[in-house]
Amino acid sequence: MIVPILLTAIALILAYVGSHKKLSRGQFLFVALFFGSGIVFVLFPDLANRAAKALNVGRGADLLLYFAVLSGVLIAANFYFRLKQNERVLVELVRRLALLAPMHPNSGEAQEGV
Amino acid sequence: MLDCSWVVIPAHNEANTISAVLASVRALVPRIVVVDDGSHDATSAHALAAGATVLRHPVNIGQGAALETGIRYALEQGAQYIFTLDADGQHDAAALLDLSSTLEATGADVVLGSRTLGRTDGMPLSRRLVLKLAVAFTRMHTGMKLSDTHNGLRLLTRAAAQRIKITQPRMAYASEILTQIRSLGLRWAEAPVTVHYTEYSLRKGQRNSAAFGILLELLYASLTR
Repeated sequence: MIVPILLTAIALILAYVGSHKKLSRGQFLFVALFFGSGIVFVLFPDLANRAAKALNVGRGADLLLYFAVLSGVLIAANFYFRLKQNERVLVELVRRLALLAPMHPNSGEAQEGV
Repeated sequence: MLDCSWVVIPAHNEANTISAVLASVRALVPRIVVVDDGSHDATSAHALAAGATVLRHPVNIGQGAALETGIRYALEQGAQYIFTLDADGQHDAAALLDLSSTLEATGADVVLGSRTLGRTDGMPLSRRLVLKLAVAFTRMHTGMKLSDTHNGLRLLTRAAAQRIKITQPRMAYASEILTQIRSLGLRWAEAPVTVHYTEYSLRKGQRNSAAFGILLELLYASLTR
């Protein structure tokens, strides 16, 4: 019962990601690999167990958890770097705006903001 | 020297103190630019009324960013010397004289105010400890034998201000200035200054826990350098 639900969810997420054509090649490869392996492990759960045994991890579920944690950290780091990049742009914009409209004490101009 | 100087004061919601700060500073240095970093109160209006030029950030982007905005403006106006000062009233305007006499005596490019060499009123023990740690960290990080760090009182020559570029918008900028002084090979000196910790300045100012945020930002900066 869970298998069709999982597969549908993965397909929907992939369709959503695909509809935003702003991914670089590297990002697309990462997403495709991530969900591709997801599909494989949903269809062949035994594969995860075998891979886990080969890596000395124990259970397939544990192996999947480790990868999920890793990708979570990776995604968080990616967002953080983007956020910082946006912050730099914002700072420069705000600064330009402020420098465009200095308010001087005697003229009394533009007291209502820029 | 003071008549070719500008004072840069970053301010965020400082309507309570800005007028008094400006009144005392103006008696010494007439040219002042207040960078209103997206305040929600009447900081800008009070600063204008007190005779300062005001640059207004439409949104709050941080003290480091505000300082850089003010420094760029002062340079555009032809400032030969640039003082930086906090808006919350914890600095004595007389400290500007200490900074400038130290600059004249030492020929430094940058003079940094030091609480340890000077006097502090009402600094809580916890702040004293955090500062001690911060100074130790800064000494390791920059290799500069400083007696204080993250003190808002500074004096820069025009040449130094042109070369230092503050890119850290928030609190980590203070450490960034030091690393740049070091890497640009600027001559620096410390001047003893008096800092008053009032209930207001402590409430308005940084929490001790901000030190962790600063460390994180510095880590990020060293990763992306």
